[in-house]
Amino acid sequence: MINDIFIFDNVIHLYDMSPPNVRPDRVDAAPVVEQTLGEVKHLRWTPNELHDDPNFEWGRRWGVEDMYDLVFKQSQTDMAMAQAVPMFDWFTDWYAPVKTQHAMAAAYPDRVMFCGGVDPLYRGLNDALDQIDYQVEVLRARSLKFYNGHAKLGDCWRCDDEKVAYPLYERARKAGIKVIQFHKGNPHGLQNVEFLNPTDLQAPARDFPDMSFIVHHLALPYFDEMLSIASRFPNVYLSLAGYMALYRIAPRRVQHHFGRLLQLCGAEKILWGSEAALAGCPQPYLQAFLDMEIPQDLRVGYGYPQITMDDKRKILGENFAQLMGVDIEQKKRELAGKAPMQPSKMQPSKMIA
Amino acid sequence: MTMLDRRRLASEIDRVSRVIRSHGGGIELVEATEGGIVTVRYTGMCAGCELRPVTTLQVVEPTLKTVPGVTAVKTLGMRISAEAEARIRQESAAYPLHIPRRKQAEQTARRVR
Repeated sequence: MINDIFIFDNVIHLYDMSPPNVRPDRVDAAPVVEQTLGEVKHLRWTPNELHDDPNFEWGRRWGVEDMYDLVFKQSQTDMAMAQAVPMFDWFTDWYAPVKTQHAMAAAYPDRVMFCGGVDPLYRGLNDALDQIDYQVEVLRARSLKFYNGHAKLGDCWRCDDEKVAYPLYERARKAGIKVIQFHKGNPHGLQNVEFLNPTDLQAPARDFPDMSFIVHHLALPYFDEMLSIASRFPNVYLSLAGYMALYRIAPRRVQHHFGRLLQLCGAEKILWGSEAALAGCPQPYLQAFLDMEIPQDLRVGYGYPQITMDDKRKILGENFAQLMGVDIEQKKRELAGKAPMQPSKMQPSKMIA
Repeated sequence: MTMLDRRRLASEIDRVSRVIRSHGGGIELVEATEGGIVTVRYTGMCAGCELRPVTTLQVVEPTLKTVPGVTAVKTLGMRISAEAEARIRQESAAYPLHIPRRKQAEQTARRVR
């Protein structure tokens, strides 16, 4: 909590880019890992001795205690959602495994929610549907994450495919899931970017009006399309998902984006997302966001509204809490006096993948 | 403080929706506080439209502010800068909402399906 602002991080990932998880049968796997680690290194703000240490291995299998330290001890985050990344392209146990995300939520159930993930072309639709049941019923997933863009064209699918994608949403809804999430924009390596265009979310958002669709990374480079969709569809939300890392590089561009978001779709649709661990400790991004203003020349010339503390309060926690059914005042009372928490014993669970 | 006339508010929201049906859209009530702060959202073709601020300041706000007890009108999912708002208000001042024309627009909306 910062002052009295409740911080609910929509997305943290316990990644596994460790050598044993890199697929030996894919010649593009190791270069992608190297490229990704190099890219995030330049994006990361990390005034942290351990993480600034050149010997610190970012390409590790992130564990529960590493992550708790990074997110809850080193930053003023109150709650977070640990999201699986069902990218099987280069990783045996996926980019961010189901196991480690679930372990995080199981270890800290009052602070962390588990978001599962499946892919209909990984081991087929039937397996993906079974996995939804398993992850929701046994692992207590509160949401599901989908990645429809992949390195090989044959592995890509569209989110509006009624034969491949709709059964996923139907099964998730049947299992009680109300919030589903999508990686859009932000292509990995040489992926075809068009599969990461968010326009294929319009039909499902229309056809599943009782479900909420969270789209990550502002779908960049498809910002205009994303903005149009989020401003027209009441059930489409935007996760910043590491976006604030750009503020140090291009503050005016970030101010433009926030100005347009507030002008056309409103603070109610935006969710805070740190993208820890690879983005580093959330604290510097939180502080930068709290300090950010829309400069006068942009307000005059583009009609952007000033970003208010009320907007920031909604974005940093209230919006996601509302979506996930968290009573913030009750949660504040529950967490009061518990920080810093001691790690609880890891819950044994029936693991998959 | 004047009590908010909720029945009249609902009636005016219906009326103003008929007027802006010419745009293929409408408005609906999201919230009205005891203090008279009314929040509406745009529907249909108006949802997501970049020109919502103009319709809000020229049509929606002046109409809803005629309701006893309404102190402010907000629109969900849309906000512009104070500078842009001042520009629209200044330019709109010469063209106040014309009651006979509004009634004509309402009657037309009733006929169009």
